[in-house]
Amino acid sequence: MLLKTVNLTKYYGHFLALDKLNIEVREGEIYGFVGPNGAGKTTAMKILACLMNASAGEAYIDGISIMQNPAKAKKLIGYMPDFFGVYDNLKVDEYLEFYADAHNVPKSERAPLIEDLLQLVNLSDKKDKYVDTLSRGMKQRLCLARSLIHDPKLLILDEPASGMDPQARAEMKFILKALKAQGKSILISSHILPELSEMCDRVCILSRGKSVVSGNMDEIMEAMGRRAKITIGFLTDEDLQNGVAVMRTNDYVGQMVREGNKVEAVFNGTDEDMSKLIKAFALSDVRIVSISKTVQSLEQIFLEVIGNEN
Amino acid sequence: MKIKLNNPIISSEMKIRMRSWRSPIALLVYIFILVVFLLIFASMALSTMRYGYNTADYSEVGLVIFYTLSIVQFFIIVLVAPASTAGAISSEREKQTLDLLLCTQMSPTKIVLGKLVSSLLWILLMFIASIPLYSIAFLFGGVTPMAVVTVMLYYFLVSLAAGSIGMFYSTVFKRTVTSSIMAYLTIFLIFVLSLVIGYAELFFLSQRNVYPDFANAFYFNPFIAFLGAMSLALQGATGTNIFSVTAFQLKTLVAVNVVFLLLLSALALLTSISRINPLKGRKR
Ligand SMILES: Nc1ncnc2c1ncn2[C@@H]1O[C@H](COP(=O)(O)OP(=O)(O)O)[C@@H](O)[C@H]1O
Ligand SMILES: [Mg+2]
Repeated sequence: MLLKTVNLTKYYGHFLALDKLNIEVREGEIYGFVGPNGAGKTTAMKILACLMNASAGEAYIDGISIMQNPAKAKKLIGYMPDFFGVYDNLKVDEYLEFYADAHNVPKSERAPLIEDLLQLVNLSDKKDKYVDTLSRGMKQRLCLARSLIHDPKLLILDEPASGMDPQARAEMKFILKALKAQGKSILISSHILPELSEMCDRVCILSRGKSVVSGNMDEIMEAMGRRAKITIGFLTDEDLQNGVAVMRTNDYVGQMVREGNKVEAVFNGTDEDMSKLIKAFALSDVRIVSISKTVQSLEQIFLEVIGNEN
Repeated sequence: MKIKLNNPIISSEMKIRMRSWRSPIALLVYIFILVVFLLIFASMALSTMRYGYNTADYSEVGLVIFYTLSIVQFFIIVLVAPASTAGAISSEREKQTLDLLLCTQMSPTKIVLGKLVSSLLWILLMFIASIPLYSIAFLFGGVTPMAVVTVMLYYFLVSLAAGSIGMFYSTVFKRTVTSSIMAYLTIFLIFVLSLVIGYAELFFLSQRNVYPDFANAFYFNPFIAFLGAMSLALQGATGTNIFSVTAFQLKTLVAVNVVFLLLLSALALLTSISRINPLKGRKR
């Protein structure tokens, strides 16, 4: 386990911003932190980056307590906040050189390191340009390079995709996957679940400072129930009546709506449960002409989870 | 263990400063101001000398040039030092780069000292640029190298104190403008209050027919102490003393003021360091 938090808690005055957060990030994985604005993502990340005291709880990075030994922990963490702070009057390579120096990277190692990082974030041709001449997306990539300058084991990226156009987003995703392939662990936050679901090995959905559910996407779907919408077409009106009767007795069928000789229903079961339902139709001689099933999107699930919390 | 004295902030701030076209212009304007004052006071000294009896003693002119340069430079430094640190932390906050500095291996102490030394180095450069003008004073005589060294040390002390005050306010206020204004206000109060209280002191004592050479509050006035220090350094050369007090009293004045300025700087800097430490209060 590379990162482990134990009941991490943060109060701003009397306001509870983070409520006993327990997450575990494994070596070499991308871990997503999802929650609406104000959920406490930034708060948790700032505590992990040693930029804020927690009110209670502990956090360990590679076995080192960030509370007891922040200086050592900082060596293992690369942090990219939800804004990009840059010094406009420095050139791109000078900017990275400055942070390399601040991280005590030996002078002889800096030049090749900066070359490599600029290559990684696709800014090699901007090396001698002043930072203020870069576009937003480029600045963001430069900031990513900065957070990597001391070769940290864990990257903490606070909403790196916000305010980016789709192309910049795709580029960022590509870079993050390359970093994962290099063995880096990444803790990344977003207020949009689908943005992370494809890239992350596991996610934690956060709402009002609490972890609502966490795990890989399958586990999250499992925990949420496999909510799907099924639409069944019946041959005759009689078949429809019988079919509805069968569905009423099925535990996994929720609300039903009739439309012509079709019935639309919420289905909460697994694939196996679905096959059982189809078998039940057959056993009751219900004649079916069509069946379709659409799984609810992650975004819908996400909104529902958060909705239930509020 | 090797102790790393290098501070990334100093090298990068110097780089940025030296690259800007504003720096040589600022230095030029600064030298120009010094030259203007020097010409005015030197010509005044020369003209009074011409009508005097003692036409051979040019050392009076040398001293006038020395005092003019030193005093004008003193006030410019008092104005420049807080301005150059008042944005030290607040501008990092404005640019949102403070957190980025704090999550490096740089400690809050190193950050604050790096910013401070950068602005002190700039003031040192200003002083070095003015040295050719001091050579004019030496040409006329009456000035000792010791006096120039004294002046330089006092500049260091005053810019340290004024710079530390600017630094303190830059950790308090989010905006550089506000922290500059507060720094100037504080420094102005130190200069003016020590004078006003000092004269009030002398006035009340005179009501009781007590006439001390010196008011206690004057010990805290950096300018009075600066004059005292110069006077002390020049005494070997001139045998006169601008406050007509004993050398011992003069030494006490300077010593008290030096301690006061050092304590003030230490207090302001330690507070600044603690204010930017995001993990303060955490038990180690
Ligand atoms: N410095 C602060 N003082 C008081 N409340 C804060 C502070 N920072 C954040 N909060 C509050 O804490 C909650 C969590 O904020 P944050 O961690 O920024 O959420 P997120 O990053 O998920 O949007 C929000 O309700 C926010 O208003
Ligand atoms: Mg946030």
